[in-house]
Amino acid sequence: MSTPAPLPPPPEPVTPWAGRLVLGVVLALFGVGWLLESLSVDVPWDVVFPAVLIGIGMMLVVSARSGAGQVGLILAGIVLTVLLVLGTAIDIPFGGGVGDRSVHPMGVRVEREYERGIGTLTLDLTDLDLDAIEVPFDLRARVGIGELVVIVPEGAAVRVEAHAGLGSVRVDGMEEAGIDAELSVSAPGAAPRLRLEASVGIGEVRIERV
Amino acid sequence: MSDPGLNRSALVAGVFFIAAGAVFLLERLGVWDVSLRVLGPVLLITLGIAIILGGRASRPPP
Repeated sequence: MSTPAPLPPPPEPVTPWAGRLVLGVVLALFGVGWLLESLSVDVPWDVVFPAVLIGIGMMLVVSARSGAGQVGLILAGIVLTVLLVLGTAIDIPFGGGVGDRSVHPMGVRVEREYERGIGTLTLDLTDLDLDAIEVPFDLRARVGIGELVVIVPEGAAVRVEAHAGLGSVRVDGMEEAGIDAELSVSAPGAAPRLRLEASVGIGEVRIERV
Repeated sequence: MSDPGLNRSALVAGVFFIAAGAVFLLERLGVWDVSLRVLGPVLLITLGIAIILGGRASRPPP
């Protein structure tokens, strides 16, 4: 009597948990980042998003043989790629945080860059000591989606370059609107002591003189 | 010789995402100033090639 032929080895178990694992880790990371932002900790989203995309790509390459859990990863990768392309197109500062923010630098204590991801950023420069700062001082203010309001002292030697990827810019009574709207205004006469670059991805830039 | 257990679509997508992520990372770090006029078409071309390659790989042999 012949013995039955040995059964073929069972197929390698697929790993459907791989996709869920990555998705879970990604969601948890975003949650941690959001929580840190809420606690006023600056999270470098500018770097986090591309890093997550690279992680998704590596996970896909590694799990290419397992045959499962990849649809979710591919969809997540596509969504992230589209977001990053949009962010590059309209210059959205992912690291700027969400919500309204008002900044009022005094004297010479001023940073060179202020930014907001989504929301309103109000930058009041009326108490900036333009006679004491290093001139010409280059200052950049950016908002991804929302409104950027910069208040400059009347009569100050300020050159403004305002840009909106999609939206409007208003400077000294002039207004431009649409795609890639921009206005460049220099104070007449004296050389500019402050060179201000104000931009939004989607929304409005408003320069007010008081 | 092709490996029947290998999901070529996932492999191509993975390589694409790694390359795209690296480009965006360099751009965000200020190492490479990427213009959308170049990046957009390049990404579309790459994505199209990736989809074609993935489709060819998953087509059953005649």
